[in-house]
Amino acid sequence: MTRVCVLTGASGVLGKAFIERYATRYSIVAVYNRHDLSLTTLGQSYVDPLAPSAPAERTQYPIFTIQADLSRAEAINGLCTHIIEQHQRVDLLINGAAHRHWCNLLRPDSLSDLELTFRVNVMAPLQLTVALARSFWQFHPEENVRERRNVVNVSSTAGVYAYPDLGQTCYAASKAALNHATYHLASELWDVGVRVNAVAPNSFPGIIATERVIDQIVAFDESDDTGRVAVIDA
Amino acid sequence: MFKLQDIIRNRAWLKKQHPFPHVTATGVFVEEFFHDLETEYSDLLQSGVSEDADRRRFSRSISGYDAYAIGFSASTRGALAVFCSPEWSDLLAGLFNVSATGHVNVGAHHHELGSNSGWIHNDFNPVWFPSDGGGGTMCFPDHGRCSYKTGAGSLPAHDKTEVVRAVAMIFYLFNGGWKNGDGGETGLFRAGASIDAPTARVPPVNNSILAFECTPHSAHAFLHNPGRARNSVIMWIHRSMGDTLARWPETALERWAS
Repeated sequence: MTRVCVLTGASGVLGKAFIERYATRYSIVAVYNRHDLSLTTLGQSYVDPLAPSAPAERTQYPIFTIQADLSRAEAINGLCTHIIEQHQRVDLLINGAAHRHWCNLLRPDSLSDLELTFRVNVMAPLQLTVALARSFWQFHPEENVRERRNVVNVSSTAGVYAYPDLGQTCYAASKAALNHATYHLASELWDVGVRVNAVAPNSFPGIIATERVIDQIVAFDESDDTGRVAVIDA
Repeated sequence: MFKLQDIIRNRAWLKKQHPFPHVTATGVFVEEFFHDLETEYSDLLQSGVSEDADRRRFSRSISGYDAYAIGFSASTRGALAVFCSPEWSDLLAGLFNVSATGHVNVGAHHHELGSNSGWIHNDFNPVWFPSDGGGGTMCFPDHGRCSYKTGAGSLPAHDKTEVVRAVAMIFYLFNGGWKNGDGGETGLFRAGASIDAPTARVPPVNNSILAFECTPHSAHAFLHNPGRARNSVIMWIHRSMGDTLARWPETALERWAS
């Protein structure tokens, strides 16, 4: 059976690259918010506003798309309910959505995105993971082990190292928190047979290749690892 | 007048099926034209807002709706006139293969910071136009002589026409810097959902558009905007009552509360 993969941040660089590479290997539920997922999928197609009757492009990627604002707890609960109703299982959760706001702390607006950064980068992965665990995974511990169900959080080397003078305080603190949450989630979900790991890449595709991040995510999915934060650096 | 092929930058709009068919696109117009739209919109706002109905500026003219509205017409000039053009009406009709009548209602909505969420509604409403309410091939409302909602007014019955909203459009502008958490999105809902549980939230990102066919299922609402004011151009094109009743029962129409 094709593995069901829930991918947040699907319209970002990593999300789109993952979809392009693995749309046929996984049954992907692509979660996006502010930026449209600019791909033709099972739920959306392109239309030319000046030639709307032109034949629609054939479905490019057989994936499911859902829009959700992960900075809102109620949206996460609704998303979880929808996914379980529609797909009946989740084998791999990739928490890829992130809010990236770098700003020197002495600037007047330096903390304007502090709450949003933690909502998206820390709280949303925690809330979505816990929501899936409560509504589905906790009732299927043996199946979870058999199906190698797992969570991969997309962190950053900014959560591991301190890069001076880049205005990364809020962003880095959120990624460090995500790393630590990964360890605890791995511990707590061990009892229900769900593994939790994180990838902590340097900037992609600028410093490292996006493909390396995807390789590590899939390596986690295929492994028995849990409680690991894999640093991916140049 | 404008040639749409010269001012539309994005020719790949996304047609989505859930929770009901709708179209979204970002980066709709070329930069220079969008700048003109924002400048003209800003000029309109410069006149201030009115708590009483006032056709010359943004005013509270929609009962129970926490927004200030202003209408456009055949006399609208400048870049904003693109929305009053037959070409733009045809574009919207084409997106949903609708046979439009040429009756259009165009305007703008300004939601102050912290405005309340609207109510969930589907825009599948019958409305009225004066038969001579024209600007060339287009026909605009004339609320003084013929109420858009009820048809009430000085015009005799044979001089007005009842049609049905066919396609709704919201074009977002003057919302620079919008970010998640600011609110002011347009919520799209499945049947029976509450205002707190939209299936999709269309963000009011500058130079982006939302359009959908008005049907019994096109449930949508403005969502509370705690972070910043929300601005948009809004528009409906219309279909004939005959076309409507050939597809849906008369009871499916959302008649205005009197």
